[in-house]
Amino acid sequence: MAGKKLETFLEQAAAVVQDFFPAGSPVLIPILYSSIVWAVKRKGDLETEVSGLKLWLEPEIVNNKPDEFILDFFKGDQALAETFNLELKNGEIKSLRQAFRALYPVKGLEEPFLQSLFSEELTKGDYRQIAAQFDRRLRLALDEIKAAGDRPEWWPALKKIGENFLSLGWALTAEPELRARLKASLEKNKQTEDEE
Amino acid sequence: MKKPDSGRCNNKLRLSSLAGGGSGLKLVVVFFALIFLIGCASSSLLRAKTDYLQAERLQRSLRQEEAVAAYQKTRQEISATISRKPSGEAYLLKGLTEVNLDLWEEAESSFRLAASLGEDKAQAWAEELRLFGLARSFEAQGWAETSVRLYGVLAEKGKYQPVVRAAVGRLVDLRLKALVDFSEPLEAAQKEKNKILAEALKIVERAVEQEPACGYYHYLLAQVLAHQKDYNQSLEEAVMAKELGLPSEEIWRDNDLQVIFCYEQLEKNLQPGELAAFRARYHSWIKKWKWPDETTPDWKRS
Repeated sequence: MAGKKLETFLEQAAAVVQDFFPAGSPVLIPILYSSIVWAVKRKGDLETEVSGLKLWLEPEIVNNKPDEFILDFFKGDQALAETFNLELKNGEIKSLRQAFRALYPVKGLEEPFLQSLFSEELTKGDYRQIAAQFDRRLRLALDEIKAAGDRPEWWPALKKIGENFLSLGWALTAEPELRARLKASLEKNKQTEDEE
Repeated sequence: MKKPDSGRCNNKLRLSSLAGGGSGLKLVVVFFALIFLIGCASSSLLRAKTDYLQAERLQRSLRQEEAVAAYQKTRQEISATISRKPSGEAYLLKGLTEVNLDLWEEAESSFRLAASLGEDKAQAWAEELRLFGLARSFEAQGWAETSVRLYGVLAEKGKYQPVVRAAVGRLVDLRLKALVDFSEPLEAAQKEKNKILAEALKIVERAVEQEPACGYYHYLLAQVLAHQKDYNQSLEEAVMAKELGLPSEEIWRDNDLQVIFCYEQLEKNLQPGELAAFRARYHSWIKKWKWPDETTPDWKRS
């Protein structure tokens, strides 16, 4: 019963946030997730919570890792090793370094915003897609968040979602579960739209 | 005895006090209002100082978003205090807060105002922030050598810790970037690579010497040593960095993965005689950090 309620809430919340973004935008999960996390912590302000998403996106550390570290990253993860088997076999360190730039923050450092942004690819294990899409999708996501943030009704709408989540008593829902449910709700919404 | 003069005098006094009753009252009101406002200003300054300390605590505990929110609140409070009663101390606190919010240009301006109101040390801080900003602009425009020279000056002679740390960080990044970008064949390049690494090492070692308890410097040292394949030393530095504290969760996690990488390299390369002692040492650390196993940090989900 509680699960059903949560689903309904997430669907409604997604529908509200969806109005601020172009169709099919990848930022819905990260944004909804941030507003809920903000509400659960009940500290700081929502703008900071959402703006704080950008704090981790500094690629400098990642760019300068030694070759051995990069090879170890790919070889140490079975799924990555299988996906990049050819590059590993041929010692194509340049291609691996390029992919590492995208995959290390997502899969190594488990940066929450990026994990939400690429949640679909992570579930499918489509790591090449993450590497290929990384820069473009990230830029798009940040641009979309900025554009939504410029609209006056944006922050109150997001705040309301967070507060409603809290008032319904789901503050203790585990992070991965919450993310998975958000994703399911968004997919369901999309499916309904497609059918219509 | 009649005392006409004194009577007159009393009268005068009474008259003058009666005639000036309104302005006297006003003076009293103004005096108390002034005391009240000064009290408000100093209590709001005190509140801002308390909030600043709280923000620093949150930052040290890696509660980044909350720390940013606390710094923003401090900045709002201190700006309100300044609009009521500008002071060198208030501008100084505003500048410090802005540095933590990465608003370095604004911080430079706040420090300059603090200096003009008597906070002498703020002048030097403003100059260092300006120099760092200049170095960043040169770097963005592709003038790498000029920016390296400016970062070098700041790393060596700077007095304001956040600027010095940032300058050392940029210097090491630029050195390592040169190393990674090196496209010459391996043998021909090795000499040049060693030279670049030696330079990077010298920069960080000097920084560690000046501020041995700075976790970030030990983190940088661990990164450089890994490039030199000195995994034993790199692991020690990464452990030290973790114990001393790091400035952000991103760096914290990267440092944990550096610890694991070094552990795996040493597991592969150490002689059987050395392995037992190494494993015992490593296990005592991961037990302290509450890691589930040798290669899984506590924050790892997948």
